[in-house]
Amino acid sequence: MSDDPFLKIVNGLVAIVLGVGGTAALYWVLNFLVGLLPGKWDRRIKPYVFVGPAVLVVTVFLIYPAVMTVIFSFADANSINWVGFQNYVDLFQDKEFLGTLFNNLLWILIVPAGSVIVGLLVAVLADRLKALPERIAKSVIFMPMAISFVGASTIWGFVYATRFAQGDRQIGLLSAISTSLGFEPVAWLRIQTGSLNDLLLIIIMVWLQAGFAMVLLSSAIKGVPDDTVEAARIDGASEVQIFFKVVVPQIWPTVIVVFVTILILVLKVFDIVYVMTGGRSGTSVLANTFFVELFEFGDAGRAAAVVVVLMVAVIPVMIYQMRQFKKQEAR
Amino acid sequence: MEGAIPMHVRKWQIGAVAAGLLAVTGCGVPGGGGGNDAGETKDGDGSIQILGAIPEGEAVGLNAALKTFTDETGIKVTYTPSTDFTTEIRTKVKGGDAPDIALFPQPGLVGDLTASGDTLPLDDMIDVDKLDDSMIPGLMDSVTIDDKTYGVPIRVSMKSLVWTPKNFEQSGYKTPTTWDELMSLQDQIIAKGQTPWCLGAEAGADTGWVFTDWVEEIVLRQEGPEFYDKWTSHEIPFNDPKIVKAIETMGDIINKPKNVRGGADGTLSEPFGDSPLPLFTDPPGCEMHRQANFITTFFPKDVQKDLAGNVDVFALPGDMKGGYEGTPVLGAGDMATAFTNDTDVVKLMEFFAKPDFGAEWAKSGGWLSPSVKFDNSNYSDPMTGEIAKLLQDADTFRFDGSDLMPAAVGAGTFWSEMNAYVGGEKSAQEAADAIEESWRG
Repeated sequence: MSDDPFLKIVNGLVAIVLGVGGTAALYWVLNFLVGLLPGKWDRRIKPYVFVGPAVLVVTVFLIYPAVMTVIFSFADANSINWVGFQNYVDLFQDKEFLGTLFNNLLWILIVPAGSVIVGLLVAVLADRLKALPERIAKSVIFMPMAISFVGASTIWGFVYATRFAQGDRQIGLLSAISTSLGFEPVAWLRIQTGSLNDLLLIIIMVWLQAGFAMVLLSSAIKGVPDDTVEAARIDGASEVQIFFKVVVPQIWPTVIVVFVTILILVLKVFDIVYVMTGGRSGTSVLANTFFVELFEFGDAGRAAAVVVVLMVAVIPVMIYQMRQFKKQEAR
Repeated sequence: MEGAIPMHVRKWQIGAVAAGLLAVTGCGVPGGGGGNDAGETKDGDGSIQILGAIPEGEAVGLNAALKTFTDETGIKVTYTPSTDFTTEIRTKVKGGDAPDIALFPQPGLVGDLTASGDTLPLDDMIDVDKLDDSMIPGLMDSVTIDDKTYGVPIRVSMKSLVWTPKNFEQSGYKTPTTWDELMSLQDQIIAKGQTPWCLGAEAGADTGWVFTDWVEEIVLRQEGPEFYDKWTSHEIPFNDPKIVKAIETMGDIINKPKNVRGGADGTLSEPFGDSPLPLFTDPPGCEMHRQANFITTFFPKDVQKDLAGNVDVFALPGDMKGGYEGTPVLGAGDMATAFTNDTDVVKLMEFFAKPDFGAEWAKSGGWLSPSVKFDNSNYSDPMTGEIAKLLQDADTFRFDGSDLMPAAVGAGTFWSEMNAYVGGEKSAQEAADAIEESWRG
C-alpha cells in the first residue's frame, strides 16, 4: 500500500529472508523427518524428498499451465465453448499473422547470428589489446546488457524519432543525419520496404545481446591453450587460418550455447516491439500478438493458440540444446 | 573451464523461457440468466456499497457529493474504486457478490450485464421520465434497453471540442457554426500562410484513437445518430460505403496540403499530448486542435493557471450539408446502475438523478454534469463552465464508438487500420474491409 521507498526496501528484504529462509527450513525439516526413518528407508526416500518440491513447483507453474494453454486453445474467447481447430484456422488465414511468423523468422535468423558475430569480433580483437583498453572496450560493449529491453527501446526511440512539421528541429539521431544530408524526413519505423522497420528493431536486440555473447566467447577464447595456437603458428598458419581452424573449433561448444541462448530469447521477444511500434506497420511478433489477443482483445482462445504455435517452435530448439548439454556433460 | 558458465546460464534460461511462454491463463465465466425485473423494493439496511472505475484521486468530488447524501439521509455510502473495473464487476456479479450500485465508465458493459439478466431496471425504482427531461439529449439512449432504463448518468466528458489560440477571433477568423464553415475556415487560414490544424495520434501501443475519434465525429455528422448506433452495434457492416466515405472525409482533412502541421506522417509520429502545444507558441504553430476536455491537463503549466484567459474553445460544428441537422456531441460518461433494490438505493439513485447533483464535484474539478439544467456557476473554473454550456447546447450525445465495439475492433483493428490508412499503406476501402473482417462474432 505504501509508496515509502524505505518500507519497500524493508518489504523486499523481509521477502528475501522469508523466501530463502523458509525454503532452507523446509528442506531441513524434511531432511530431519526422513532421518528419523530406519537406515534403509532413509536412503531410499531422501532423493525424492529433495527433488520433490522442485518437481512440484515445475508441475504447478509450468506443466499445468502448459497443458491448460493447449486445452484453452481449442475453446472460444471466454474459454466456455469448444471450437475445435477454429482458432488455428483463423490464425493461419490471417495475413497479419503470417507476416508475424515471417517477422519471427527474421529475428531468429538475424539476432543470434548477428550477436555471435559481433561478440566474437569484439572478443577476438579486444583479446589483442593491453589489459586496461581491453577492459574498457569490453565494458562498453557489455554495458547495454545492464539496460532493460524497455529502457533500450526508449533510447532507440530517440534514435529513430522524426519530426515532420516545417521548422521543427529533428530530435532523432537518424533523422538529424539524413535531413542534414538533404533528404526529406521519413518515419523510419513505418518503412516496410525490405522489412526495414523490422531490421531497425532487430538492431536494438543485437546491440543488447552482443555484450553477452562477447563475455562468454571471450572467456572461451582465453581458455584456448596457447600451445595449440603456437603450434599452428610454427607450422606456418596465417592468423585467419589459426582463427578459423584452431580457435573456432575449440570454442565451438560455447558458440553453440550462446547462439541457442540468444535464439530462445529471441523467440520470446516482446518488449522491444511493444514499446517501439506496438506491432504496427507489420512489425508484430508472436509474443506481441499473444499479448494483444489476451490483454487487449480478451480472446483467450486465440491467444492460447498463438502461444501453442510459439511453444511448438521452441520445442525443437530446446531438444537440440538439451542434447548439446548432455554431450558436453559426457565429455 | 569453458563449460562452467554456459551450464549455469542454461539452467536459468530453460526455466525462464518456459515460464515466460506458458504464463497464460484463460478464465471462463459462465452465463447468467433470468428476466430483468427489479421486483419489490426492500427496506434498506442503512448502507450502500458502490464500485466504480473512477480512480481514488478523481473521486474526491464524488465522495464530497456522497457525503452530502449521507448527511441528508443518514445512509452510509462506501465508494470503492477499481483499477480493473471491467473484469472486477463481471467477476463480482457472476460470483453473486455484486455491489449495490456500480458506476460504469461506458454503456457497452451495462448492455452485456443487462442481457445476462443481472442489472435492475430503474423504471420500478425512480421516475425515469424526469431523467429523460433533464439529461443531455441522447445520453439516456445508451442505457435504454427494451424500453427500460438501466442507468443514471453521473458524469460526462466531451470530445467534440476545438481549441484555438486566445487571439483567434482577433486574427480575423470567425468561429464556425457549421461543418462547411469549418471547411472554408481551413482555406482562410491556409491563405493567410498559417496552419489550420494540430493533430497528433501517437500514443505508444494505443496509437490510432485520435483518428478513430475523428471518424466517429464525421460519421455522426455525415450520417446522423441512428446510423451511428447501427454502425457501433454492427447492424451494418464496417465496410459500408458510408463508413468508407467518412474515413475518406478524415483523409481529405489530413492529406490536404498545408492543412495539418507535419502532414499525415507528422500526425502518426506526434504524441497526442504534445500536439496541442503549438497553439501556445508565438506566432501559433496551428490555429485549431480537436480534442476532448481532458487535454487541458497537457497544456503548459502557465496556460493551465488561467485557461479561460489563454485559450478559446468551440464545439466541433455539425449541420453538415446532406447530413445530420444539428450539432452532435461525442463523449464518454459514467453510469450508475443498480444491482440491489432497496429503499437506500432508491434514495441514492434519486439523489444522482437530481439536476443539481454534483455541485460539490464541480468545485473540485475534472467533472462535467450530464444534466442540461445544471447551474454552470458551480464550476470552479470558467473554462469548464464554458465547455458545460457547449455540452448543454448539443442536439444529441453519443458515446465514443470505439468503446462500444468489441475490444478487438474498438481498441484493435479500428486503431491499427486507421494508422495504416493515414500512413498511406491502405485505401479507406481496404482498411474498412480489414476491420470488418476482424469483427468476430
